[in-house]
Amino acid sequence: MTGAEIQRHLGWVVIVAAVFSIVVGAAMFVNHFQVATYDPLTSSALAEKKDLLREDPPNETLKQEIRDLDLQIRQRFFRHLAFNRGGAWFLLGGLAAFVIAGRYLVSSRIALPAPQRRPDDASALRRHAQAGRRAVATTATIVAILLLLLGFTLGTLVPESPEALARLTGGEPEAPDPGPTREELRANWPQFRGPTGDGVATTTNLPMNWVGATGDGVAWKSPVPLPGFGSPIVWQDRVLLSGGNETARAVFCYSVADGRQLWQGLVPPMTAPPGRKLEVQEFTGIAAPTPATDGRRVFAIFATGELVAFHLDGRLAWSKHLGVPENPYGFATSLVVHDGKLFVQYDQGEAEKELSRLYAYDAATGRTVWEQRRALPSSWTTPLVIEAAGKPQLIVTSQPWAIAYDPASGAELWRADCLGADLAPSPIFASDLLYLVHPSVAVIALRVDGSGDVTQTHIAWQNEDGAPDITSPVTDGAHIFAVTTWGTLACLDAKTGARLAEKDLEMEFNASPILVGSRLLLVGIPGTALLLSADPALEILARAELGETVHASPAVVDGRLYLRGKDHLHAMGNPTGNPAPLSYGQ
Amino acid sequence: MDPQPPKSTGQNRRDFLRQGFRGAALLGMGGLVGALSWRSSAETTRWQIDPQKCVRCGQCATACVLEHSAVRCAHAQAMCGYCELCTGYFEPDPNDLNTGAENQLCPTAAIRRRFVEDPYFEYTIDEALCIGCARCVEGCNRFGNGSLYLQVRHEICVNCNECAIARVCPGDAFLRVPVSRPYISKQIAH
Amino acid sequence: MLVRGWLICLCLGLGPLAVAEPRFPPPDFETEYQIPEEQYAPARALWVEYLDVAVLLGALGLASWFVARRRSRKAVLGLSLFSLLYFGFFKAGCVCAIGSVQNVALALFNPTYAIPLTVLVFFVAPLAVALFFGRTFCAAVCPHGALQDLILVKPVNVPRWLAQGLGVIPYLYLGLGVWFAATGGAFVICRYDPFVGIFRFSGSLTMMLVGALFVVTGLFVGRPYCRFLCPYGVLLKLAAKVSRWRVRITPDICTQCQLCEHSCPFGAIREPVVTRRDPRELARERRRFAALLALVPVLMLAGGWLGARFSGVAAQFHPVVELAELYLRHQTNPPSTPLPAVDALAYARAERDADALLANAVATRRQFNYGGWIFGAFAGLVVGAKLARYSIQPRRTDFEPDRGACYACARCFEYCPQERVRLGTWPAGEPIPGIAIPPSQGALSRKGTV
Repeated sequence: MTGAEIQRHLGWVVIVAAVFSIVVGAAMFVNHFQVATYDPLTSSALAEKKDLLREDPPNETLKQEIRDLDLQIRQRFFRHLAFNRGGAWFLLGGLAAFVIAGRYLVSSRIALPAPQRRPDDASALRRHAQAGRRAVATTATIVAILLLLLGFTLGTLVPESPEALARLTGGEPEAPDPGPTREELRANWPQFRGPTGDGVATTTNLPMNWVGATGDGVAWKSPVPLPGFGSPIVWQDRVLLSGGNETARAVFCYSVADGRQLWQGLVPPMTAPPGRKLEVQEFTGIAAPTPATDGRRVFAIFATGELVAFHLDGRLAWSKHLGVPENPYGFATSLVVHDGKLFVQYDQGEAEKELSRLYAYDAATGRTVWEQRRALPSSWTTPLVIEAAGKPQLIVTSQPWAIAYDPASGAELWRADCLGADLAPSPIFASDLLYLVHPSVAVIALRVDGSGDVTQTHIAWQNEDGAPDITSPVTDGAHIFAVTTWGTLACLDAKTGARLAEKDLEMEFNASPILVGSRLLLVGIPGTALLLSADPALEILARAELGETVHASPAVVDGRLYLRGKDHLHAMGNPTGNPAPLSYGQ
Repeated sequence: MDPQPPKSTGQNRRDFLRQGFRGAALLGMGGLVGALSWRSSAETTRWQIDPQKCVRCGQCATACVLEHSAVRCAHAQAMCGYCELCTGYFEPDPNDLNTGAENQLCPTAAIRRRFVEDPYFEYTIDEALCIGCARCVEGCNRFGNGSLYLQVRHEICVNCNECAIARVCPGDAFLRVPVSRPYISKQIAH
Repeated sequence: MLVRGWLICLCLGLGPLAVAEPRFPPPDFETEYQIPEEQYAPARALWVEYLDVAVLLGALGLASWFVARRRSRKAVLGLSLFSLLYFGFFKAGCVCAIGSVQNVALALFNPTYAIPLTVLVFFVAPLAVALFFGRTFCAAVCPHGALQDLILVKPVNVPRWLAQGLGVIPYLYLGLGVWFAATGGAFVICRYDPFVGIFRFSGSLTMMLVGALFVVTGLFVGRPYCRFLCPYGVLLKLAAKVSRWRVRITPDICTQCQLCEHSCPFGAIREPVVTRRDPRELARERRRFAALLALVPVLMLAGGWLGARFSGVAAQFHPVVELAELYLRHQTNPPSTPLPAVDALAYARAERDADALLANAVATRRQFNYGGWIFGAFAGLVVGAKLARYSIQPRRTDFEPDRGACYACARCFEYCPQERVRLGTWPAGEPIPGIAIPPSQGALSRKGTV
């Protein structure tokens, strides 16, 4: 074939391909609008017929009409899908034919370059520059006008500041909540081991004249519907604790005055982030972590990985699912709230897997403020917030590191390598020394004014006697008291670590000791509460029987002792003050 | 023999500047990769629906970029009650308990009803017909055991960077899951 | 277009849900009936994603080699066809380097988003290659670029001033995309991509129409998306401007024969500039340059203010703000008709903890405001720099493609007589047009790069 003939053929191909593509495109376009009439989701004809049938149920012809129409609609729907799929291929084919033929045609007709004598460079440049500047300026102006118009006409109602929001919704501009004061915290029992987190009660009045079995001296005893090993917490006129099993998890709230259940907050159904299956350890259960409160909301976490926040009147505030943790003994780390942030020590797995995290959530909304990855294994201790070296420090422990973080930013302040495996005892703090426990091996006293790795420089003393294995110790600044699971109570000198005394209490303990004034309160697993003198004499001053097994540490606040037995929450003593009842919305 | 004309000082200066910028750009990219690799994952992600958050609005059928949505109904048979009057299969107050089109909720007849034994019926989803409209899911969850749920099918989903359905979901039910654990299923604990 | 499998893939490792007792008790079967297990076709395996990365790197390497060493238009064409089919139709255009900008932006500002490594590589690799070889990604690897390159039938010359005016838009689009992605609002670059609907064979009517518009335009205008919209192209342009090796039309000395002048359908070829400026003009130009540079901070401020004004509109792309907007609108101005079903469901979710939602929305709105200032300042900087740039006279002796604008498509090579000599297709004895080269100089090299 000659060149001209080829060109003519190509020309025809180009035209036919173009027409074909346009026709197919138009057909698909029209089809798109036709579908609306036969959309199985929105067909009004079918809906009308079904309504008619409802008024005249035995009408067989109507039924048949509905079935025919339904079949027709379904057929058209799937045919339409197939039409579009096929049409797309045809369109693509038409485009390809057009492009290929067109390119060959154009390349066969290409004009040879005929270089012109280039005009004067200088003036050409000037013209180009001017034209370019004008073009850029025009585009910029058009875009600016567009942004301005849109910005002024389509703005959003959502304002930029909480004050403006309050004005919009007609409320009072809310001052940001300053959180509970130090006095408020000390007057309550807001977290595991009390307001300071190290087991020191702020009341000196501890009732011990009670008998659990008969109810003498017991203010009230309330059943707890779901089991758990977490301790109760107390805020003003409410006692809260959490419980759960594989079917349900919940937070329970009881009245301080008479023990009646005020509300129970079920953890809402949440889907776990994909991960491992839950394996529940019988001796830990699902509700081993103790809840925490900041006086506005109560926070609870469970071994399923569910984290939930309720307002103190029982309304759900927010909830999250952190994923089922990988934890050989069961997740037991309690929650800590400080300065409007909820801290969750989510250590799990082995150190190399780097699954462990330390989360800081905004207590009001649950938003993540910061999170830290930790290359550390599972831990069963609870974090501790201390004020030392002029700043707040969040102490988090997991084998082998004790690490201090800045609660506001999550930045690491210092770390010390001194802890061992199966880490369950939580740290305590007194007179500028942080006391850590290497379970069954040693008690370590650490100075907290360092930075970076302080293993070599800040250990004040390390003592090999008297270290507990599971319970956390307690100190009054002069002595440290620790009890092992099998009942050996040790008294150490807080300044040197020397073991001053030891006593075999002849029973098992899971609950950590509490310091009440100058006395030490211990509650053994059989339900026996012992009051001892907090000095090397370790003299037993009083003894009382609960009648139920006790694994959870007690709460001692405002002249009351709260003990969580296997199935009941017991309250002993009379509250000395008149705590103001909480109003709704607080 | 070098075919290039010798460079002027201006060109050498420009080359030096270029080298400097190139080095800075490489450093910057290296820094970016370093900073992000701490927070990156070796796995890519897929889209899934959290069945607990799904509010059965029906947009899964229409919002997907694919005409035949990648979201289809799934049936957690272990949760099913096998009821004769399945509230996910039948319209509310059905004319009769048979497979007639006037009784079925599903607009594309994607649910198959099969008699097992008295009084149990088995309901299975024909995924090729399902369009993900959530009518059966709504009926099942509101009045039944909630064994029907919508889920993204990975063999159909093109895994857009920003899922068009996720964008409009009123229940905020879409989440990214790592590719090694690509399916979220509804399950009860036994 | 994913593989359909028949493996039974049980749901892996889900925790139990806190469900109350089911409404209808579990059935008690007396016959042999077994409750069927849930079946799932598996998702595309991870190794496939890493294979994509390997293909990307291989294609980038090949493209660079084809342009720099082999200097073959046919090879680049073939590779771009492969890229269109593989990255475009086979992978449905996702994940792509253009969209990865948003993932990177989100990862930088959101501590809870973990960017997949493959996406990070898709972002970094073309830029790293551009730092050395120029925009070889655009030529033969990017599916969008490949599509536009292949469908170009009869290029129409876009006047230089128009191209430069519209050339501001990619910068703005990049800024917008990063702003929206960093605040967690939306991936607008993905949402409004015109070609991805074609790759998927599916999309909304608007998107398909816009795609068709770009295709039809692309038949006659070279690379409309690349030149006037592509946000990743901004980064590639900046990287290519400082590239180690540049694309050269001639493998040898340029004889300024002007034969390649109109060979580029994308307007990337620049002429030599030799004549010096008039000294009086020089002073005026210097003053103008200084004035325009001084204008840059003003433009940045004005841009920032505009961006902040626009941030109210922008914030509504964020789902939290959108929901809060719905809630507030309903609260302050309850409509007479009930909300459409979908909105009613969203509203119910908003009501459950309105305070937290509103607090979250206010915080997000404020983030958008800051982002708006940054976006506007960036836009002002770009506009100011572009205006000032015209006062700088480039010094150029050869016809060569602009480093930043050249897509390395290798179309212009064969226009050059020196190239034809290298290929051996120049008629023997015919003198090379342009400036005469003495035979002692200019021994032709087989290589083509500098």
